[in-house]
Amino acid sequence: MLVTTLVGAAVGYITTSGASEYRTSAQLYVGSREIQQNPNLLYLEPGLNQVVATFAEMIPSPVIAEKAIAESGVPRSAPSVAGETKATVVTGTNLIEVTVTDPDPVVAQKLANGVSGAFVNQIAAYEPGSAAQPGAVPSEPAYIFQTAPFPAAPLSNGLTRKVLLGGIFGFLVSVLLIMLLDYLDVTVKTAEELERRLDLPVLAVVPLSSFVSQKSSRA
Amino acid sequence: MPSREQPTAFEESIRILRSNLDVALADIRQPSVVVTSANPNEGKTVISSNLAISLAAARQRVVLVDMDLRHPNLHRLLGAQNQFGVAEVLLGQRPLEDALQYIELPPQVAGREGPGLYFLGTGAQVSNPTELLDSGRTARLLQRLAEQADVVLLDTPPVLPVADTLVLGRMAAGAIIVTEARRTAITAVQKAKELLIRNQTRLLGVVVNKFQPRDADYGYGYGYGYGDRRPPSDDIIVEHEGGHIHSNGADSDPAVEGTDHPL
Repeated sequence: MLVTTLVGAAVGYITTSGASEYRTSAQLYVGSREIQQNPNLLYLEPGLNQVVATFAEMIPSPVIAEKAIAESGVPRSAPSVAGETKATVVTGTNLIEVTVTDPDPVVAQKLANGVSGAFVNQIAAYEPGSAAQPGAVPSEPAYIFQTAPFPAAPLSNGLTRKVLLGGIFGFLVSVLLIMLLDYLDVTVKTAEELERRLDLPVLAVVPLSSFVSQKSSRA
Repeated sequence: MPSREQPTAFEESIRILRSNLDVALADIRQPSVVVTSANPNEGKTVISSNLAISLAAARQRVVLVDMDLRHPNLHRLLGAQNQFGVAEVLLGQRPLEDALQYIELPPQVAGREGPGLYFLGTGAQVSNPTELLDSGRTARLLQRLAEQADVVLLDTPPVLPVADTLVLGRMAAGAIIVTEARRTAITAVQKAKELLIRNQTRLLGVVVNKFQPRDADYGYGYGYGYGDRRPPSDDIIVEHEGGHIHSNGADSDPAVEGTDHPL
């Protein structure tokens, strides 16, 4: 039981990455600067929501990542940056939170701001009416509302939790194993069981015991 | 006097076995009892030898016979000779009086001088033990032994591998099956029981041997769990694993009465 518990804990420890990661976020605002009192605004809102959601899907892409790398000069590849980037719409708002997670805190901050800036620039670059090129972003007013701060503290890698869970899992496995082995053990264990199964009286139960031989004690 | 550790629980369990056996044989005159097991190495020889000693210490006239002509071991436990025994007697090569050995119990066990038990070894190995045992001579031998003793204990081969015990069982007053805790499959004991019953053997009961503390949920009634209090004197002890019976202070050579057998 102790062995399986320790093995489980060890597996939890080994499978936990030792590398630290840093995460930081920038926020983009999408939409007009003027809030118009328009009775039709209710009908326009669904359309803007779709645009915001669409932008959130476009941001973590290699196209934007390339431009972010070019602007920020970080030593990363476009696919890896795209993989490290996450864009989510803040519920009920026109804000998009651009989050980057990277082992280097400086890189994480540069990329978060770089991706945000690159995307805003892409929005400004697209001219309606002209043929859209791959990677072009429809025009809709957007700007960086909040730049990404420097991530001072790394993310928790969950080592303690994983070791604990691994140990608990190993303990449970040993308990199940013991129960299974006991169930499969068809040997004589108790007098009561023997009497019941054989319908014969148990005349004695002789204990397992150890003795010191007289031969060894004479020697 | 050499000192040694000996759990009283073992002695108590043998005494309880003796007591229960007395009850089981109460209505039988001159009983002979087979001590057997389903499979080899379950401890029946150690049990039969210690039971014999316990009976002798209780002032009963006991004859212990090693009927395991294939793998004789009792003579080693008792420190007796096995040059000639059952085989020679059944083949008519030796008279019973020559083959029978008297083994004296030490005073510390018996509480007085003199008491002992009689032992008949297997003698030389034979090629056809089952056929030799399944003869009228065996029945006459057992009867002759029983006439002179209070109880005859027969240490026989295991039931499942060979037929020897099935032959002997119907000649005896009853049989005890020794099982080893956490080693003998219950189905094996059941099969041994069925075979013995089918061969007209009266079953007296079962002994659970090498019982382990972790399975103790049925302790006191069966002579286990009386604790580790030191006995007032050094009794005969038996090593459980591949055992030797040593009478305290006795030599390893047998104490054999040369000419003067009470039997």
